[in-house]
Amino acid sequence: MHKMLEQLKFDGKRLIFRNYGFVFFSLLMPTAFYVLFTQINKGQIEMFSAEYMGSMIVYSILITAIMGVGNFMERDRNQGLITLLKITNRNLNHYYISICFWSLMMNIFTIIILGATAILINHVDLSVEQWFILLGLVLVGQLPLLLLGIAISNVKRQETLTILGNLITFPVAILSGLW
Amino acid sequence: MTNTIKVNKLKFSYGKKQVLREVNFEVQSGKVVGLIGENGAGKTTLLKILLGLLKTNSNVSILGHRPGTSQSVSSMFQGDLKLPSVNVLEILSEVAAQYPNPRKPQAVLEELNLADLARQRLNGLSGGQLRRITFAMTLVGNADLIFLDEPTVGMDVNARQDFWDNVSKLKNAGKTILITSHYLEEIQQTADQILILKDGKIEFDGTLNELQRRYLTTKISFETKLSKTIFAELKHVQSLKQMGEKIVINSTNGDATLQTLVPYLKELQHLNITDASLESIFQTITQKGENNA
Repeated sequence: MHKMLEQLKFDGKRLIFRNYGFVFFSLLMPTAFYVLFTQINKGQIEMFSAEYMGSMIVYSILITAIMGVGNFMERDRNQGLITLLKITNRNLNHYYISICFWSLMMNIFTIIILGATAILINHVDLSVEQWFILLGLVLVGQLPLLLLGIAISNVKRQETLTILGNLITFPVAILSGLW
Repeated sequence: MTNTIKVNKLKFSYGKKQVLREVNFEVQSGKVVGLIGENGAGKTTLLKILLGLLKTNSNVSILGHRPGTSQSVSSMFQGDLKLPSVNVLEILSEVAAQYPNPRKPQAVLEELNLADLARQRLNGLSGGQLRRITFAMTLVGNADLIFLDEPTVGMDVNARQDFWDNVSKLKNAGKTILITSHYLEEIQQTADQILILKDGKIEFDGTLNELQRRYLTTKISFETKLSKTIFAELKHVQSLKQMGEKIVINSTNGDATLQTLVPYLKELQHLNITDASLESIFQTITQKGENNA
Protein backbone atom coordinates (compact mmCIF):
# COMPACT_ATOMS: atom_id res chain seq x y z
CA MET A 1 0.00 0.00 0.00
CA HIS A 2 2.80 2.38 0.94
CA LYS A 3 4.45 1.69 -2.40
CA MET A 4 1.22 2.49 -4.26
CA LEU A 5 0.68 5.73 -2.35
CA GLU A 6 4.25 6.85 -2.98
CA GLN A 7 3.86 6.07 -6.67
CA LEU A 8 0.63 8.06 -6.82
CA LYS A 9 2.26 11.00 -5.04
CA PHE A 10 5.27 10.88 -7.36
CA ASP A 11 3.26 10.66 -10.58
CA GLY A 12 0.57 13.13 -9.48
CA LYS A 13 3.12 15.93 -9.25
CA ARG A 14 4.56 15.07 -12.66
CA LEU A 15 1.33 14.42 -14.52
CA ILE A 16 -0.90 17.14 -13.14
CA PHE A 17 0.67 19.89 -11.09
CA ARG A 18 3.87 20.36 -13.11
CA ASN A 19 2.54 19.26 -16.48
CA TYR A 20 2.24 22.47 -18.47
CA GLY A 21 1.55 20.48 -21.64
CA PHE A 22 -1.61 19.08 -20.08
CA VAL A 23 -2.74 22.52 -18.97
CA PHE A 24 -2.26 23.99 -22.44
CA PHE A 25 -3.18 21.20 -24.85
CA SER A 26 -5.81 19.36 -22.81
CA LEU A 27 -7.42 22.22 -20.91
CA LEU A 28 -6.80 25.65 -22.39
CA MET A 29 -6.92 24.70 -26.07
CA PRO A 30 -10.22 22.72 -25.98
CA THR A 31 -11.74 25.41 -23.74
CA ALA A 32 -10.66 28.13 -26.18
CA PHE A 33 -12.04 26.16 -29.14
CA TYR A 34 -15.29 25.63 -27.24
CA VAL A 35 -15.74 29.30 -26.44
CA LEU A 36 -14.77 30.35 -29.97
CA PHE A 37 -17.00 27.98 -31.92
CA THR A 38 -20.02 28.27 -29.61
CA GLN A 39 -19.88 32.06 -29.89
CA ILE A 40 -19.62 31.84 -33.69
CA ASN A 41 -22.55 29.39 -33.88
CA LYS A 42 -24.59 31.01 -31.16
CA GLY A 43 -28.27 30.35 -31.56
CA GLN A 44 -27.85 28.71 -34.97
CA ILE A 45 -28.03 25.07 -33.87
CA GLU A 46 -30.11 24.05 -30.93
CA MET A 47 -28.22 22.17 -28.26
CA PHE A 48 -24.92 22.96 -30.05
CA SER A 49 -23.37 24.36 -26.88
CA ALA A 50 -23.99 21.15 -24.96
CA GLU A 51 -23.00 18.83 -27.81
CA TYR A 52 -19.85 20.77 -28.61
CA MET A 53 -18.88 20.65 -24.93
CA GLY A 54 -19.04 16.86 -25.25
CA SER A 55 -16.88 16.97 -28.41
CA MET A 56 -14.23 19.08 -26.75
CA ILE A 57 -14.18 16.82 -23.69
CA VAL A 58 -13.59 13.82 -25.96
CA TYR A 59 -10.95 15.75 -27.90
CA SER A 60 -9.17 16.65 -24.66
CA ILE A 61 -9.23 12.99 -23.55
CA LEU A 62 -7.82 11.94 -26.93
CA ILE A 63 -4.95 14.43 -26.66
CA THR A 64 -4.26 13.47 -23.04
CA ALA A 65 -4.23 9.72 -23.74
CA ILE A 66 -2.36 9.60 -27.04
CA MET A 67 -0.01 12.57 -26.95
CA GLY A 68 0.18 13.21 -23.22
CA VAL A 69 0.39 9.77 -21.64
CA GLY A 70 2.20 8.29 -24.66
CA ASN A 71 4.97 10.91 -24.54
CA PHE A 72 5.14 10.78 -20.78
CA MET A 73 5.68 7.02 -20.63
CA GLU A 74 8.12 7.06 -23.56
CA ARG A 75 10.22 9.62 -21.71
CA ASP A 76 10.13 7.55 -18.52
CA ARG A 77 11.31 4.52 -20.51
CA ASN A 78 14.13 6.35 -22.30
CA GLN A 79 15.30 8.09 -19.15
CA GLY A 80 15.55 4.75 -17.33
CA LEU A 81 12.78 5.17 -14.77
CA ILE A 82 11.04 1.98 -15.95
CA THR A 83 14.31 0.06 -15.68
CA LEU A 84 14.85 1.44 -12.19
CA LEU A 85 11.38 0.32 -11.11
CA LYS A 86 11.81 -3.11 -12.77
CA ILE A 87 14.95 -3.85 -10.78
CA THR A 88 13.10 -3.82 -7.47
CA ASN A 89 9.57 -4.69 -8.44
CA ARG A 90 8.63 -7.98 -9.98
CA ASN A 91 6.17 -6.10 -12.16
CA LEU A 92 5.23 -2.55 -12.98
CA ASN A 93 1.64 -2.75 -11.79
CA HIS A 94 1.98 0.18 -9.37
CA TYR A 95 3.34 2.36 -12.12
CA TYR A 96 0.61 1.51 -14.62
CA ILE A 97 -2.16 1.82 -12.03
CA SER A 98 -0.81 5.23 -11.03
CA ILE A 99 -0.68 6.44 -14.64
CA CYS A 100 -4.26 5.24 -15.26
CA PHE A 101 -5.49 6.83 -12.04
CA TRP A 102 -4.00 10.21 -12.83
CA SER A 103 -5.24 10.06 -16.42
CA LEU A 104 -8.70 9.54 -14.97
CA MET A 105 -8.19 12.53 -12.68
CA MET A 106 -7.00 14.62 -15.62
CA ASN A 107 -10.15 13.75 -17.53
CA ILE A 108 -12.38 14.53 -14.56
CA PHE A 109 -10.60 17.85 -14.28
CA THR A 110 -11.26 18.44 -17.98
CA ILE A 111 -14.97 17.79 -17.47
CA ILE A 112 -15.03 20.23 -14.56
CA ILE A 113 -13.27 23.00 -16.50
CA LEU A 114 -15.21 22.56 -19.73
CA GLY A 115 -18.46 21.99 -17.88
CA ALA A 116 -17.99 25.14 -15.80
CA THR A 117 -17.15 27.10 -18.97
CA ALA A 118 -20.26 25.74 -20.69
CA ILE A 119 -22.51 26.65 -17.76
CA LEU A 120 -21.04 30.10 -17.16
CA ILE A 121 -20.69 31.28 -20.75
CA ASN A 122 -23.41 29.41 -22.63
CA HIS A 123 -25.77 28.63 -19.75
CA VAL A 124 -25.75 24.95 -20.67
CA ASP A 125 -28.31 23.24 -18.47
CA LEU A 126 -27.92 19.47 -18.01
CA SER A 127 -29.61 17.44 -15.35
CA VAL A 128 -27.59 15.77 -12.63
CA GLU A 129 -28.30 12.41 -14.27
CA GLN A 130 -26.94 13.67 -17.58
CA TRP A 131 -23.76 14.92 -15.91
CA PHE A 132 -23.23 11.53 -14.28
CA ILE A 133 -23.86 9.73 -17.58
CA LEU A 134 -21.29 12.03 -19.21
CA LEU A 135 -18.82 11.26 -16.44
CA GLY A 136 -19.44 7.52 -16.77
CA LEU A 137 -19.04 7.56 -20.55
CA VAL A 138 -15.79 9.48 -20.24
CA LEU A 139 -14.40 7.12 -17.62
CA VAL A 140 -15.21 4.03 -19.65
CA GLY A 141 -14.51 5.57 -23.03
CA GLN A 142 -11.04 6.75 -22.05
CA LEU A 143 -9.82 3.20 -21.45
CA PRO A 144 -9.21 2.14 -25.08
CA LEU A 145 -7.57 5.49 -25.79
CA LEU A 146 -5.36 5.11 -22.73
CA LEU A 147 -4.37 1.62 -23.87
CA LEU A 148 -3.49 3.05 -27.26
CA GLY A 149 -1.36 5.74 -25.61
CA ILE A 150 0.42 3.11 -23.50
CA ALA A 151 0.97 0.96 -26.60
CA ILE A 152 2.55 3.71 -28.68
CA SER A 153 4.78 4.75 -25.77
CA ASN A 154 6.80 1.61 -26.53
CA VAL A 155 8.26 3.01 -29.76
CA LYS A 156 11.97 3.55 -29.50
CA ARG A 157 12.32 7.06 -30.87
CA GLN A 158 10.59 10.19 -29.67
CA GLU A 159 10.24 11.48 -33.25
CA THR A 160 8.39 8.30 -34.30
CA LEU A 161 6.08 8.64 -31.32
CA THR A 162 5.21 12.22 -32.26
CA ILE A 163 4.41 11.23 -35.84
CA LEU A 164 2.37 8.22 -34.73
CA GLY A 165 0.53 10.31 -32.15
CA ASN A 166 -0.39 12.91 -34.75
CA LEU A 167 -1.41 10.25 -37.28
CA ILE A 168 -3.82 8.76 -34.77
CA THR A 169 -5.11 11.86 -33.00
CA PHE A 170 -6.05 14.19 -35.82
CA PRO A 171 -7.73 11.74 -38.23
CA VAL A 172 -9.72 10.32 -35.28
CA ALA A 173 -10.71 13.83 -34.22
CA ILE A 174 -11.72 14.88 -37.73
CA LEU A 175 -13.44 11.65 -38.81
CA SER A 176 -15.43 11.38 -35.61
CA GLY A 177 -16.67 14.95 -36.08
CA LEU A 178 -15.06 16.42 -33.02
CA TRP A 179 -14.18 19.60 -34.87
CA MET B 1 30.04 -17.54 3.77
CA THR B 2 27.02 -17.64 1.56
CA ASN B 3 27.12 -17.00 -2.17
CA THR B 4 25.37 -13.78 -3.05
CA ILE B 5 25.82 -14.33 -6.77
CA LYS B 6 26.10 -17.69 -8.41
CA VAL B 7 26.45 -18.03 -12.16
CA ASN B 8 26.79 -21.41 -13.81
CA LYS B 9 27.30 -22.00 -17.55
CA LEU B 10 25.68 -18.75 -18.57
CA LYS B 11 25.28 -18.26 -22.30
CA PHE B 12 23.55 -15.39 -24.00
CA SER B 13 23.21 -14.09 -27.53
CA TYR B 14 21.46 -11.23 -29.25
CA GLY B 15 20.01 -13.05 -32.23
CA LYS B 16 22.94 -14.77 -33.94
CA LYS B 17 25.56 -12.75 -32.11
CA GLN B 18 26.92 -14.73 -29.18
CA VAL B 19 27.80 -12.24 -26.42
CA LEU B 20 28.34 -14.52 -23.45
CA ARG B 21 29.78 -17.93 -24.24
CA GLU B 22 30.00 -19.83 -20.97
CA VAL B 23 30.31 -17.65 -17.90
CA ASN B 24 30.89 -19.24 -14.50
CA PHE B 25 31.63 -17.43 -11.28
CA GLU B 26 30.52 -17.00 -7.71
CA VAL B 27 30.59 -13.99 -5.43
CA GLN B 28 30.51 -14.36 -1.68
CA SER B 29 28.58 -12.10 0.61
CA GLY B 30 30.34 -8.92 1.69
CA LYS B 31 32.88 -8.84 -1.16
CA VAL B 32 33.68 -6.08 -3.59
CA VAL B 33 34.12 -7.47 -7.08
CA GLY B 34 35.64 -5.63 -10.01
CA LEU B 35 34.31 -6.77 -13.37
CA ILE B 36 36.58 -5.58 -16.15
CA GLY B 37 36.71 -6.16 -19.86
CA GLU B 38 37.19 -4.39 -23.14
CA ASN B 39 34.41 -2.40 -24.74
CA GLY B 40 31.93 -4.89 -26.15
CA ALA B 41 33.14 -7.76 -23.95
CA GLY B 42 29.65 -8.30 -22.52
CA LYS B 43 29.87 -6.56 -19.14
CA THR B 44 26.63 -4.60 -19.41
CA THR B 45 24.84 -7.64 -20.84
CA LEU B 46 26.03 -9.69 -17.88
CA LEU B 47 24.84 -6.98 -15.48
CA LYS B 48 21.42 -6.87 -17.12
CA ILE B 49 21.09 -10.64 -16.77
CA LEU B 50 22.07 -10.50 -13.10
CA LEU B 51 19.44 -7.79 -12.57
CA GLY B 52 16.76 -9.76 -14.34
CA LEU B 53 16.40 -7.25 -17.16
CA LEU B 54 17.40 -9.87 -19.73
CA LYS B 55 16.01 -13.37 -19.43
CA THR B 56 18.04 -16.52 -19.75
CA ASN B 57 17.52 -20.22 -19.10
CA SER B 58 20.95 -20.56 -17.55
CA ASN B 59 21.52 -21.22 -13.88
CA VAL B 60 21.86 -17.78 -12.26
CA SER B 61 21.11 -17.09 -8.62
CA ILE B 62 21.01 -13.67 -6.91
CA LEU B 63 20.71 -13.74 -3.13
CA GLY B 64 19.27 -17.23 -3.46
CA HIS B 65 16.58 -16.16 -5.93
CA ARG B 66 16.13 -15.93 -9.66
CA PRO B 67 17.40 -12.62 -11.05
CA GLY B 68 14.85 -9.81 -10.82
CA THR B 69 12.92 -11.33 -7.93
CA SER B 70 14.91 -10.17 -4.93
CA GLN B 71 13.97 -6.88 -3.30
CA SER B 72 17.41 -6.28 -1.90
CA VAL B 73 19.25 -5.36 -5.08
CA SER B 74 20.06 -1.88 -6.34
CA SER B 75 22.04 -0.67 -9.30
CA MET B 76 23.68 2.37 -10.80
CA PHE B 77 23.66 2.28 -14.57
CA GLN B 78 25.73 4.34 -16.94
CA GLY B 79 22.89 6.68 -17.90
CA ASP B 80 21.33 9.13 -15.45
CA LEU B 81 17.71 9.99 -14.83
CA LYS B 82 17.03 13.50 -16.03
CA LEU B 83 13.25 13.74 -15.54
CA PRO B 84 12.15 17.35 -16.02
CA SER B 85 9.39 17.69 -13.43
CA VAL B 86 11.06 15.96 -10.51
CA ASN B 87 13.44 17.21 -7.85
CA VAL B 88 16.19 15.26 -6.12
CA LEU B 89 14.32 14.54 -2.90
CA GLU B 90 11.28 13.32 -4.81
CA ILE B 91 13.20 10.83 -6.92
CA LEU B 92 15.02 9.53 -3.87
CA SER B 93 11.69 9.10 -2.04
CA GLU B 94 10.29 7.28 -5.06
CA VAL B 95 13.28 4.90 -5.15
CA ALA B 96 13.22 4.41 -1.37
CA ALA B 97 9.55 3.42 -1.55
CA GLN B 98 10.47 0.42 -3.73
CA TYR B 99 12.51 -1.20 -0.95
CA PRO B 100 11.37 -2.95 2.23
CA ASN B 101 13.95 -1.32 4.50
CA PRO B 102 15.16 1.93 2.94
CA ARG B 103 17.22 4.74 4.39
CA LYS B 104 15.89 8.26 4.77
CA PRO B 105 16.58 10.25 1.56
CA GLN B 106 17.60 13.39 3.45
CA ALA B 107 20.14 11.38 5.50
CA VAL B 108 21.68 9.90 2.35
CA LEU B 109 21.99 13.36 0.79
CA GLU B 110 23.70 14.70 3.90
CA GLU B 111 26.10 11.76 3.97
CA LEU B 112 27.10 12.47 0.37
CA ASN B 113 27.32 16.25 0.92
CA LEU B 114 24.45 16.79 -1.50
CA ALA B 115 21.86 18.23 0.90
CA ASP B 116 21.88 21.60 -0.87
CA LEU B 117 20.65 19.90 -4.06
CA ALA B 118 17.56 18.40 -2.39
CA ARG B 119 15.02 20.76 -3.99
CA GLN B 120 16.71 21.10 -7.37
CA ARG B 121 15.11 19.64 -10.46
CA LEU B 122 17.03 16.73 -11.98
CA ASN B 123 17.22 18.38 -15.40
CA GLY B 124 18.90 21.42 -13.82
CA LEU B 125 21.90 19.49 -12.46
CA SER B 126 25.33 19.20 -14.05
CA GLY B 127 26.58 15.84 -15.33
CA GLY B 128 28.76 15.25 -12.29
CA GLN B 129 26.01 16.23 -9.84
CA LEU B 130 23.57 13.93 -11.59
CA ARG B 131 26.01 11.06 -11.34
CA ARG B 132 26.33 11.61 -7.60
CA ILE B 133 22.55 11.76 -7.24
CA THR B 134 22.32 8.48 -9.15
CA PHE B 135 24.71 6.99 -6.61
CA ALA B 136 22.48 8.39 -3.84
CA MET B 137 19.55 6.52 -5.46
CA THR B 138 21.63 3.35 -5.20
CA LEU B 139 22.28 3.91 -1.49
CA VAL B 140 18.79 4.94 -0.40
CA GLY B 141 17.41 1.43 -0.92
CA ASN B 142 19.81 0.00 1.68
CA ALA B 143 20.14 -3.07 -0.54
CA ASP B 144 22.37 -6.03 0.32
CA LEU B 145 23.67 -6.34 -3.25
CA ILE B 146 24.72 -3.34 -5.28
CA PHE B 147 25.71 -3.18 -8.95
CA LEU B 148 27.70 -0.17 -10.11
CA ASP B 149 28.21 0.21 -13.87
CA GLU B 150 30.93 2.75 -14.69
CA PRO B 151 30.01 4.69 -11.56
CA THR B 152 32.62 7.47 -11.65
CA VAL B 153 32.23 8.59 -15.27
CA GLY B 154 31.66 12.35 -15.26
CA MET B 155 32.79 12.86 -11.65
CA ASP B 156 35.62 15.21 -10.83
CA VAL B 157 38.65 14.01 -8.84
CA ASN B 158 37.25 14.97 -5.44
CA ALA B 159 33.89 13.40 -6.18
CA ARG B 160 35.61 10.19 -7.27
CA GLN B 161 37.60 10.07 -4.06
CA ASP B 162 34.40 10.60 -2.03
CA PHE B 163 32.74 7.89 -4.07
CA TRP B 164 35.40 5.27 -3.32
CA ASP B 165 35.38 6.27 0.36
CA ASN B 166 31.67 5.54 0.36
CA VAL B 167 32.22 2.22 -1.38
CA SER B 168 34.64 1.30 1.41
CA LYS B 169 31.98 2.23 3.99
CA LEU B 170 29.46 0.02 2.18
CA LYS B 171 31.97 -2.81 2.18
CA ASN B 172 32.54 -2.38 5.92
CA ALA B 173 28.77 -2.49 6.39
CA GLY B 174 28.75 -5.94 4.81
CA LYS B 175 27.25 -5.03 1.43
CA THR B 176 28.18 -7.03 -1.63
CA ILE B 177 29.22 -4.80 -4.51
CA LEU B 178 29.94 -5.58 -8.15
CA ILE B 179 31.61 -2.74 -10.05
CA THR B 180 32.49 -2.30 -13.70
CA SER B 181 34.89 0.48 -14.45
CA HIS B 182 37.55 1.54 -16.91
CA TYR B 183 39.43 3.31 -14.11
CA LEU B 184 41.33 0.16 -13.23
CA GLU B 185 43.62 1.76 -10.64
CA GLU B 186 40.50 2.57 -8.60
CA ILE B 187 39.16 -0.98 -8.74
CA GLN B 188 42.63 -2.24 -7.84
CA GLN B 189 42.51 -0.37 -4.52
CA THR B 190 39.09 -1.61 -3.45
CA ALA B 191 38.23 -4.95 -5.04
CA ASP B 192 38.55 -8.26 -3.18
CA GLN B 193 37.86 -10.21 -6.34
CA ILE B 194 38.66 -9.45 -9.96
CA LEU B 195 36.68 -10.88 -12.85
CA ILE B 196 38.09 -10.32 -16.32
CA LEU B 197 35.59 -10.84 -19.10
CA LYS B 198 37.06 -11.48 -22.51
CA ASP B 199 35.28 -12.66 -25.64
CA GLY B 200 32.21 -13.61 -23.62
CA LYS B 201 34.06 -15.78 -21.11
CA ILE B 202 35.63 -15.22 -17.70
CA GLU B 203 39.33 -15.11 -18.47
CA PHE B 204 40.28 -14.69 -14.83
CA ASP B 205 38.49 -15.01 -11.49
CA GLY B 206 40.50 -14.35 -8.34
CA THR B 207 42.27 -11.76 -6.24
CA LEU B 208 44.65 -9.11 -7.54
CA ASN B 209 47.60 -10.95 -5.92
CA GLU B 210 46.67 -14.13 -7.78
CA LEU B 211 46.39 -12.14 -10.99
CA GLN B 212 49.80 -10.55 -10.51
CA ARG B 213 51.37 -13.94 -9.72
CA ARG B 214 49.83 -15.50 -12.81
CA TYR B 215 50.90 -12.79 -15.20
CA LEU B 216 54.15 -11.91 -13.41
CA THR B 217 54.67 -8.65 -15.21
CA THR B 218 56.90 -5.80 -14.28
CA LYS B 219 56.47 -2.50 -16.07
CA ILE B 220 59.70 -0.82 -17.12
CA SER B 221 59.50 2.60 -18.75
CA PHE B 222 62.15 5.06 -19.83
CA GLU B 223 62.93 7.75 -22.38
CA THR B 224 65.63 7.34 -24.96
CA LYS B 225 66.70 8.48 -28.39
CA LEU B 226 67.68 4.90 -29.27
CA SER B 227 65.54 2.99 -31.71
CA LYS B 228 62.87 0.60 -30.45
CA THR B 229 64.40 -2.22 -32.51
CA ILE B 230 67.40 -2.40 -30.16
CA PHE B 231 65.15 -3.28 -27.26
CA ALA B 232 63.20 -5.90 -29.17
CA GLU B 233 66.08 -8.31 -28.43
CA LEU B 234 65.62 -8.02 -24.66
CA LYS B 235 64.69 -11.17 -22.74
CA HIS B 236 61.36 -11.94 -21.07
CA VAL B 237 59.60 -9.08 -22.82
CA GLN B 238 55.87 -9.65 -22.98
CA SER B 239 55.08 -6.40 -24.78
CA LEU B 240 56.90 -3.28 -25.91
CA LYS B 241 55.33 0.03 -26.78
CA GLN B 242 56.94 3.21 -28.03
CA MET B 243 55.35 6.63 -27.72
CA GLY B 244 57.77 9.16 -29.16
CA GLU B 245 60.95 8.90 -27.08
CA LYS B 246 59.17 6.99 -24.31
CA ILE B 247 59.35 3.20 -24.28
CA VAL B 248 57.17 1.02 -22.06
CA ILE B 249 58.07 -2.65 -21.58
CA ASN B 250 55.98 -5.28 -19.79
CA SER B 251 58.29 -8.02 -18.62
CA THR B 252 57.60 -11.46 -17.18
CA ASN B 253 60.89 -11.32 -15.30
CA GLY B 254 61.76 -7.76 -14.36
CA ASP B 255 65.23 -8.60 -12.95
CA ALA B 256 66.32 -10.49 -16.06
CA THR B 257 65.11 -7.76 -18.38
CA LEU B 258 66.86 -5.06 -16.35
CA GLN B 259 70.14 -6.95 -16.53
CA THR B 260 69.95 -6.96 -20.33
CA LEU B 261 69.27 -3.19 -20.25
CA VAL B 262 72.52 -2.48 -18.39
CA PRO B 263 74.62 -1.78 -21.59
CA TYR B 264 72.15 0.91 -22.57
CA LEU B 265 71.77 2.62 -19.20
CA LYS B 266 73.70 5.74 -20.25
CA GLU B 267 71.18 6.33 -23.03
CA LEU B 268 68.12 5.98 -20.79
CA GLN B 269 66.42 8.79 -18.89
CA HIS B 270 63.57 8.71 -16.37
CA LEU B 271 63.87 4.97 -15.83
CA ASN B 272 60.82 3.77 -13.91
CA ILE B 273 60.16 0.24 -12.65
CA THR B 274 56.79 -0.81 -11.18
CA ASP B 275 55.09 -4.08 -10.38
CA ALA B 276 52.24 -5.06 -12.60
CA SER B 277 49.20 -2.91 -12.16
CA LEU B 278 45.73 -4.07 -13.05
CA GLU B 279 45.90 -1.80 -16.06
CA SER B 280 49.13 -3.31 -17.41
CA ILE B 281 47.89 -6.86 -16.78
CA PHE B 282 44.64 -6.03 -18.56
CA GLN B 283 46.57 -4.65 -21.51
CA THR B 284 48.71 -7.80 -21.54
CA ILE B 285 45.65 -10.08 -21.51
CA THR B 286 43.86 -8.20 -24.26
CA GLN B 287 46.99 -7.88 -26.42
CA LYS B 288 47.68 -11.61 -25.94
CA GLY B 289 44.27 -12.30 -27.32
CA GLU B 290 44.87 -10.04 -30.31
CA ASN B 291 48.25 -11.72 -30.94
CA ASN B 292 46.64 -15.15 -30.83
CA ALA B 293 43.84 -14.07 -33.15
